[in-house]
Amino acid sequence: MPKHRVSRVPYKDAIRKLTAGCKDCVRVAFSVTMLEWELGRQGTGSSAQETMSGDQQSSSDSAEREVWGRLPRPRTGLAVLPIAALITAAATGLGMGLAYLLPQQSVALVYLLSVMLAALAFGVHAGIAVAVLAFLSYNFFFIPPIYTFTIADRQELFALIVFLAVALLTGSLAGRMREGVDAARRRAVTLQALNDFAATLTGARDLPTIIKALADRAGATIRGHAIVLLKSTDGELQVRGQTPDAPTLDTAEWQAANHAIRSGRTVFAAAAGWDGSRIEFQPLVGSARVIGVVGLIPFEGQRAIDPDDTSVLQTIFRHACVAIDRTRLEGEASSARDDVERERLRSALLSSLSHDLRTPLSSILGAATSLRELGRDMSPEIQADLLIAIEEEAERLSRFVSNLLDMTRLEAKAIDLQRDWVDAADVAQVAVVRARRIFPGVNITLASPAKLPVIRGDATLFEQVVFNLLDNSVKFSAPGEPIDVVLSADDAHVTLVVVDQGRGIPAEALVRVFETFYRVGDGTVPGTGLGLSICKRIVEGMGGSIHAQSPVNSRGGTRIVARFPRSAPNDPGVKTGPAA
Amino acid sequence: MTKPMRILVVDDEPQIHRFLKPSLTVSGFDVLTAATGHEAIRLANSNALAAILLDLGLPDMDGKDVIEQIRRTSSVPILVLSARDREAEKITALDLGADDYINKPFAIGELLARLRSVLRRQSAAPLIEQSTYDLATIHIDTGTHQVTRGDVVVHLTPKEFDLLVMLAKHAGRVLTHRMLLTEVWGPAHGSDHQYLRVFIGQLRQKLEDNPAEPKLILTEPGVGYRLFEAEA
Repeated sequence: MPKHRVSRVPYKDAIRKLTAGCKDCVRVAFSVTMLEWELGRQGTGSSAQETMSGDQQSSSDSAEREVWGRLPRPRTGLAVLPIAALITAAATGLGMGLAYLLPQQSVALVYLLSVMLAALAFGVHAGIAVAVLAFLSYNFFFIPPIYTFTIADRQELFALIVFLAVALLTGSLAGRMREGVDAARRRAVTLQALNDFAATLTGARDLPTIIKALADRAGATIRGHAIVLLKSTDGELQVRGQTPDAPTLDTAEWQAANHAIRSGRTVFAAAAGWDGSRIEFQPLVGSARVIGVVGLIPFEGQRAIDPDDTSVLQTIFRHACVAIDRTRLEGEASSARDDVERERLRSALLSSLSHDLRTPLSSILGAATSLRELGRDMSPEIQADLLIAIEEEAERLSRFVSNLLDMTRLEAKAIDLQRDWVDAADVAQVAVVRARRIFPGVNITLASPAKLPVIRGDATLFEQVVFNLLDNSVKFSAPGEPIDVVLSADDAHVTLVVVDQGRGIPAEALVRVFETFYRVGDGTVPGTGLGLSICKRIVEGMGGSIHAQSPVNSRGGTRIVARFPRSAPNDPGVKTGPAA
Repeated sequence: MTKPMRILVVDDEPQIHRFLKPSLTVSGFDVLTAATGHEAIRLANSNALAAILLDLGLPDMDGKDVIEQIRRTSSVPILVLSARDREAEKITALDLGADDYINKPFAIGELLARLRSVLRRQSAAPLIEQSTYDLATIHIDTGTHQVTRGDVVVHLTPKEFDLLVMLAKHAGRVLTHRMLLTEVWGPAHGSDHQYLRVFIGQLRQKLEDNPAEPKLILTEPGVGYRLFEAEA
C-alpha cells in the first residue's frame, strides 16, 4: 500500500476516502472489508476514538492481542514450507474428490483458491510456496500421464505454465493485500494506543503517573523494556520509572545515559548480560531543555528498534514531555500559592500580635502610669477601676499568649491530643467557672446528663475549647444575654454545644470563623482571630468535628457544635480512669 | 477660673478610654470620647476643641481620612496614637495635617507632655514670624542670619540655616522628611532623604555638644526629625 498521511477520522469516512483514491479496487475493497470486520468486532462500529476505557494501557494491549489473535501471524522463509505442504495436500485431496464430479480444469481453480487463502493467511512467502507446490502437485496428480512430472499434451503444458503464472501472481497479490491489512491494523492499533496514551497523560495530575504511562507505552511500542530517567533538581540522572522486570543499568549504561542527556542525541550502549542486545537511550526534550532520557531495550533477537516504532516513540516522548513540563509548572504555581498563603498568615500574625499585644499593654501601661502620676488627684473609685483594668488586661494578655502558644504547639504537632480519657462534663465545669470569674455579669449555664461517656483527648485543651467558645460567645453577646453550654451523648458521639443569643454570625462567615486570624464584623469587637481556629484544631486533633450555626432564633444568636467520638461501651465508664 | 480645655479622644478600644478619661480629667481637661471615625468628625464639627487624640485604627473608616476631613474645616491640633511599626501611616497622617504622634503603648506622662506641647504651639498661633529663637545655648537671629552657640558665632551655610530655622519654628514638633525637604530644598526634592541626612549631620556637628548623641536635633526613626523643646 502507498504511504498514507495519518489522520484520525471515523472509519467510514476513511473507507470512503480510501476507495475514492484507489487504483486497485479489489485490493482496497478487500482491505476495507477486513477493516470493517475488524472494527465491527471491536463492538462499536464507529470512530475508534470512542473506544477509550479507564485503563487505557491494558485496553490497547488487549486490542493488540486481539488483532494478532484473529489472523495467524505472517510467516516468512523456510518456515512456510510445512504449512504450504499441508495446504497443497489438502487442496490436492479436495481436487481428487472433485475430479470425479467435475471437469479436470476445475481442479486448477481449487489450487488457485488454496494459493490465495495461504497468501492471505500466512503472507506472500506462503502464497508463493503454495503456488509452486500446487503447480507441481497439479502436474503430478492430475496432468496425464499422472504420477509423473512429464506432460504429454502441449496444450496441457501451456495451461500449466499459465496456471503457474496465475498462481504466483495470486499468491503475491493476496500476500501483499494481507500485508496491507496488517499494516492498516498496526496503524489503527498504534493510533489507538497513542490516543489512549494522550488521554492518560491529560488525566495525569502527578509525575509518577506520567512516568509510568511513558515507560509502559514505550515498552509496549518496541515490545521490549523501557527505563525512564529524569534529571533531578541537582542535575543528576535518576531512574524514575520502568517497565516491570526491566534490567538494572550497569556503569557503561549509566555513562551512555549521561552522554545522551548531555548531547541531546540518541546513544547506544552495549548491554552486557542482556543477551548481547543493546540499550538505546533516547533523549526527552522538554520545552526548553533535555529533561531526561528513556532507555529502550528491544526484545531478544531484535537488534535495533524498527524505524516505524521510532517515529511512534518520538510522538510518545513529545506528549510525555509536554505533560511533565505541565506538572512542573503546576508544582511551581502551587508552591507559589503556598508562599503567598504563608506570607498572608505571617502578616496576619504580625498585625494580630501588633494589635492584640499592644492594646492590653497600652491599657496596662496607661493605667499604671496614670495611677502612679495622677492617682493622688483621683477618687478611690477611679483608682480601683484602673487597678481592675490592669488586672483584666493582664488576664487578656495571658489568654492571648496561651492561645498563641497552643497554636504554635498544635502547628508543630508537639502534643498528643488523644493521650487521655477526659470527663467532658467535669472539665467543662472548670471552664465555665473560669469564664464566670473573668466575665462577671455574664449569665452562663451548664447542662449535662448524669452519665456521660468519656472521650479520648487532652483535658487541658478540652477546657481551652470550652473556654474559647464561651469567650467568643461573650464577645458577641450583649451584657445579660444567656449563654448555655450543653453536653449530650448518643451511640457514637459526645456532643458539646455552646449557644448564645448574641448578634450571630453572617452566613458567609460560618465556615471562615474557624480560619486562623479570621475575624467577623467591623472590628469593634476585640479579638485575636485565634480562639475558634484553635478550637477547630484541638477538636479535630481529638478525632472530632466542629461547626457553627447561625442564626438560632429570630434575632440572631450562634450555636457552635463540637462532636467527639465517644468511648466504646467496654471502655472506662463515666469517670476518667486508666486507659483500658 | 478659666473654662477647662476640651479634648476629644478617638479610640475603638474601651480599655484605652478607661484610663485616658480619668487621667485627662484630673489633669484639668474636659474629655469627650468617640469610638468611630464618623462620631469623631461629628463631635469635632460641633464642639470647640482644644485638641484631638486620634487612634488611626478605627472600625468604620481610615483614621487618615478622619484627619483629612477635620482639616477641611479646622486647624485643631491632632495628636495621633499609633503603633511604633506603622511609620508609613504616621508619615501620611503628619503630611495630612496631624500635629504630632505618640507610639502605643505610652506612659501617661509622655502623652500629657506631648499634648501640652501641641497646645502651647497652638496658643502661640497665629504664627507670626519670630525674628529670634533661643534653644538652650543656641541663639538664632533671622534678621542678621546669625547663629551663636554660647558666645561663639557658628557659621552655617544658607541651607543649614534654613533647615535650622524650619526646625526651630516648629520646636518640639516632629517634621517629616518630606516637610523639611520641600520647605528647604523645594517640592522637587521631596524624596531626597540623603540630602537631609547630610545636612542634619552637619548641623549636629556644629551645634551639638556630642554629635554622636544629639540632644538638640532628635531623630524620629522612619518619620523625620524633631527639635528638642524644654518643658515650659
